[in-house]
Amino acid sequence: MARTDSFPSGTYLAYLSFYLMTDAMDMISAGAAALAGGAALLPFLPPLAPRTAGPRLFYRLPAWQKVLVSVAAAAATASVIVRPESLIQWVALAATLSLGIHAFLYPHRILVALDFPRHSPATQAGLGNDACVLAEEIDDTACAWPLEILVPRHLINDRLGHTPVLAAY
Amino acid sequence: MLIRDRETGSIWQQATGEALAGPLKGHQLALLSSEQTRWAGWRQDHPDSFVAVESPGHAGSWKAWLQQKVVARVLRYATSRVRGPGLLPNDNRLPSHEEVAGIRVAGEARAYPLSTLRSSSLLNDSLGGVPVAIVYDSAADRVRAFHRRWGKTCATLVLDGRFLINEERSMKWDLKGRAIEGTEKNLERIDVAREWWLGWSEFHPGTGVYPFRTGGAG
Repeated sequence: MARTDSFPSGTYLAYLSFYLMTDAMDMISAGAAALAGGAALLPFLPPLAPRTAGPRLFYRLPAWQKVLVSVAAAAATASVIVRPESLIQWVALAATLSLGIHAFLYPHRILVALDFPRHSPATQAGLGNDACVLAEEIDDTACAWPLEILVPRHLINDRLGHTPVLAAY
Repeated sequence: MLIRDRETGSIWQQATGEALAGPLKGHQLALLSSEQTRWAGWRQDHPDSFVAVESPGHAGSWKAWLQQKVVARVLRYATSRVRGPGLLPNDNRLPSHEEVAGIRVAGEARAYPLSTLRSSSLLNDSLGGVPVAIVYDSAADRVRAFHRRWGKTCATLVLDGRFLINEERSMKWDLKGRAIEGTEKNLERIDVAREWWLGWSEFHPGTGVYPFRTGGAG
């Protein structure tokens, strides 16, 4: 089976775009936030060519379109929710928003899927009795994936016996 | 949640295993009947089980700390308070983050709130005309469901300590459904999806909520 990563739902964009309808009086602050947010996004620009051909989902848009939407979202959100009063606050806000947008655009860099973890026998695992696990048995081979390591990653690509499996939280 | 595979870039729906877009659109991953349980309960049933562990290099690293202490906690805090947008109107019969055990039998879906299961431990129910039993094992914090009719026999199950027995006390099974005495018929397991209500209701529109049958969004 193909190995997998996380991906954001495109419907979140609909909510972000709502915030574009800001008060006209805040356009100046929105513009300033857009510049600051755009500058902070520059280190995170994706490669210009999409990795694979396919439907025009958001993450496959050209880099400049991604930046445009992200900056607009950052600016609108900043102007509506937070009102920075100094340059330092603007930079801090832009950096925070940029990191958040980066996590949104590239969740597989935050929720990093775990590939083929080591399987320890039950007697050596050292797992507490109350630990929550996601467990499966295939062809007399049983394995448990502790939620403690599954939840931060959401995805574990693994193999149970000869069967490729994906533990998805 | 959506999943992307590295080989083709196709997008897969986590809840259903269906490929929504990309070269593999329309393909379906096989959903396994895995179990969410406490380690002690699983180990008791499967003493030879393996456990997935962190690689030694990663286990103590700052990345592991970041993921387990920060990312996991932020996720748990945020996702328990925020409802992501779905395609259907909100079904408000239950709070969106109420834990439910979801079962689909004979075309009928029903959600059993964990709070109800924790107080009742065993529910005899009927879905789509098919008699089922839902058992909550408090020691292992896990939910199992079984068919309770085979051939002409339909059993009303009762919990007897760590065993399942019929009302007449003539047949006995363990909590995995394996026959102990009075019968050679093992109870057939039904896949149980343990999710938040918002997830179950999104992908099973019109689902019933125990003890009620199907219903629309509120």
